[in-house]
Amino acid sequence: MLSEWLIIQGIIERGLIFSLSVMAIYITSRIIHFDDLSVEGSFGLGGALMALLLTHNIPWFVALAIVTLAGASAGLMTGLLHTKLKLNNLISGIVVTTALFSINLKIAGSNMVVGNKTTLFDLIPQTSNLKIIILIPVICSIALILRWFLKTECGFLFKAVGDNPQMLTNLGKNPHTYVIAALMLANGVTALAGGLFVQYVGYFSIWSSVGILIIALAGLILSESLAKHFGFNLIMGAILYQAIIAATFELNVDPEWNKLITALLIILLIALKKHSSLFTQRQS
Amino acid sequence: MKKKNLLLSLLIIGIIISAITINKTRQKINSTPSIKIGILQTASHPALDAACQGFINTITQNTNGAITCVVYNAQGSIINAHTIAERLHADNSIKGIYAIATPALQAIASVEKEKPIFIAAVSNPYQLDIINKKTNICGTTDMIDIPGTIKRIKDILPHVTTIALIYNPAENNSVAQIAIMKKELLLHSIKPLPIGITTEMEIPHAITSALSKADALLTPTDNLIASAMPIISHLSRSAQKPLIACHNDAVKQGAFMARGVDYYESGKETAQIALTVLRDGKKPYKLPITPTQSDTIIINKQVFDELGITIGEISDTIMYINLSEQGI
Repeated sequence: MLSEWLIIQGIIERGLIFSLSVMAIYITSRIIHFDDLSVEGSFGLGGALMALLLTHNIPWFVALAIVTLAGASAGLMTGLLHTKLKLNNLISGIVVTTALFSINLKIAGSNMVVGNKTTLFDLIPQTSNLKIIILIPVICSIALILRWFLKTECGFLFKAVGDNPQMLTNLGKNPHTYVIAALMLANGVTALAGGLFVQYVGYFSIWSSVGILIIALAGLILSESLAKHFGFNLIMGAILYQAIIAATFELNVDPEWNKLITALLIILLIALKKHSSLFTQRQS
Repeated sequence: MKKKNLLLSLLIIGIIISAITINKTRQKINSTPSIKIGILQTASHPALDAACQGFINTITQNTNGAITCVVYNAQGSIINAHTIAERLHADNSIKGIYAIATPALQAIASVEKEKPIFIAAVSNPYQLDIINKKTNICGTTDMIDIPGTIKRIKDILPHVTTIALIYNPAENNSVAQIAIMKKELLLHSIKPLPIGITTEMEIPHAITSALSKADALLTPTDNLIASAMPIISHLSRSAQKPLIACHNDAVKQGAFMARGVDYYESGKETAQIALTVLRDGKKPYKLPITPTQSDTIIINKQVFDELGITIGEISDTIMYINLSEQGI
């Protein structure tokens, strides 16, 4: 039973870290209706900066704060490109991600080993290897803070930007300010995920951010099949996607079929949900 | 409604977990007393596939099925590599892990501290901060003899004045090799022209531009370049300029010459090391990590004829290989 638990623990741990990216995608594409592709770049930026700061003996909590701010500035760039230079939202995200690839290479190179610097995960004895004990409260409290924030006045204005920008103008507010603020929040959270991932695995690799967008989007879609609001369903969605990837490897098929199996499992899950909700509706 | 959703999500997670558990139990029932080696391959391209095949063939030949291999491929994703690494770590039936290329090694080394890890296609394991006194890592590296290679290039192609270095700046091993290449080329008064490529889409543009500025192309042992070798060799042949590679499989794909690593051989050598650990009970930290480069120069006969080169006196063995034009 121990070995099964190790696999499941790994799935939950990675799911928890990537759920921050799912939350970021939720903020951009579901609240302000801005499909932001720059999250892939800011996840890498968070990781690169985290590796650099840790190797320069900056304490991990200071590093996490700096990394979040750096991610927010990446979001600021995307927002400025969109609102001031009038670039299409997809293009501004692509441009920022492309530029950040070079910046990340300059910051940390293609691969940077953190070594045995103290990280968040050293709060528990290293031998126990139960990183999950730290991740659950950290990620859940971030989710709760974000949920609370989205219910404040500022959070409602974010929603208004997405649904009805005219209303903000009528209220005498500039919608652009809120678009930029939401992008900063989303990219800051993603960069935090990147930083946590580097602390989790112990090294930075330029390739680790490749595919984050898909992980985040798939997590969001899966979470929406559970519930549409901002809450723990987002964390569940991210964990589900990691479970699907792990299940693919567990099936032990010809490696070349892996991605197809992953795709089939996702289709199966969403179809199952659709079908079951139809079923319950008919019953009621 | 909310409760139903929660129940449903728990149900789905439950199904996945039970699928994993059932699969495990099935494995336990089916498992013969044979030893299993889990193979974690970073990505699919001919060089790494060769390293994998060489390993499997040697293991099967030498043990008559007493040791079996299970192949997992991360398809270039670091996150997948971690998922697989954790799986291999947790599976008690797996007694050793064969990691192909640096990302696979880093992923497995971050979780696995006890089972032996055998490596191939890793250029500089010492730089990764994972080799220590009681290390569980042993195997082969693909670090190449760059000064020697540059000297042979100067012997075989004496008129070359500018060489374009095609590499991926986002790969650790390539960056390290390029730094040495630049220095060595300057020593032989050849001008290096570094061309960085980070995605396969950029390759046609970058190579065409490099071919117009340089007399020859040189590539390190780079994963991205290795996967794009057919297009790079095609472009350099159309431009009538020699392409020099650092892994021998590239010559089969249309590169002019290589004096480097034969990944099939390095897989075989790593397999021999794995056998001494698993069968003879040697401790991994007592075994050195050995380089696998051979001194033979491998030349593609067709490209050689197309370029019309004559080779003078050289002390090394030259092996010419003939290949049909098919596919390239």
